Amino acid sequence: MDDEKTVALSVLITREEYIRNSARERRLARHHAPAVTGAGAVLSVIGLAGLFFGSLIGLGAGASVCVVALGLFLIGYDGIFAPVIDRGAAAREYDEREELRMATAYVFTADQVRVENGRVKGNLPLSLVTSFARTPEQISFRFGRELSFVIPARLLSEEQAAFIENALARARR
Amino acid sequence: MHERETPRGQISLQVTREEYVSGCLLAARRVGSLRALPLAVLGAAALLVIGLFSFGWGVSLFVSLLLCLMGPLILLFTLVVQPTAVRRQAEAEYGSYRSLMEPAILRLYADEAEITAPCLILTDPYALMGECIETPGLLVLIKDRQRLLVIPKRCIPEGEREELLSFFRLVFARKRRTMRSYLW
Repeated sequence: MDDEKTVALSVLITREEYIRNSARERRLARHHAPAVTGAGAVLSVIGLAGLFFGSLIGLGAGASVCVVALGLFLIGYDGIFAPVIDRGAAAREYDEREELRMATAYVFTADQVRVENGRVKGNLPLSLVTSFARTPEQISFRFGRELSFVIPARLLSEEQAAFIENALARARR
Repeated sequence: MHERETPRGQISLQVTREEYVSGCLLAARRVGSLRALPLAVLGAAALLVIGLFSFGWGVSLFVSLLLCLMGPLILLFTLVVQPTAVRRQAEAEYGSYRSLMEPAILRLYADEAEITAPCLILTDPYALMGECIETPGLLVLIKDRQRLLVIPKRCIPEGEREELLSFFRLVFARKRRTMRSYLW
């Protein structure tokens, strides 16, 4: 029965996996990204207008080119520059945080997870999970900003992954 | 069998919403989205000055107005929009923080801090903490960009306060900063 079933595993996340997940999380946390992209679009339109109708809006050719360039930079920031910055920051974070290089033992039941590593030890109710996500590469879940866990999919069978995902989804309802 | 040493101090942690939000703002100011605040203020002032002077430089009116407007917009974003976003996120996270971490006992050992909460025990070595920020009412230990430990000074027992504050100042001698608020 599901209620009696447990999934036990030991996880050691690699540097590449952490960088990928952390960069994805930072991207999702950038709430102002649409505003930056929107501002870039507006500046680009103003700059293009200046190139064609500069005399009407008092915008010289040189200024128009600068405005268009700034607009294109802002448009491309979220898609091009920010991911590079995020991956660099994630790599630095992995190298700085010793616990990310520790193995973590998990025991999932229907309504809680027992976690044990060099930093955290306890039985955490799944009802306190604030966010979780399942991708083809991993399952990640957080308890607020204090605790975040990542389990690579390579360590899970399809049945185990489904059990964990269902337990997380059920507990958060 | 290795016996755990006696803790240097023990604090019963009860963090209010306002204290948690203040801690998050301080952390954001030091390691998060607000750390560029001084640069943004300087940049905004420079843009405004350049914009005002540019009216007499023969530059197009549009560019001068744009420069004058960008300064206040940057200030608005840096001093209002971003702190509001941090504050809002912290308030949303306070609920889960309280569910997970309260009531909690903080035990201070020679080289690590241990928090015992109802469903977990957290152990954090001081050497792996980024910074200690001291304000008139709080001690905020910044573990990394996400995690922090907020210690209201009012939770430190009156008779042990000076001793424990001295302990923190010694442990974080090279990584300690005093601030009045997240702004300065």
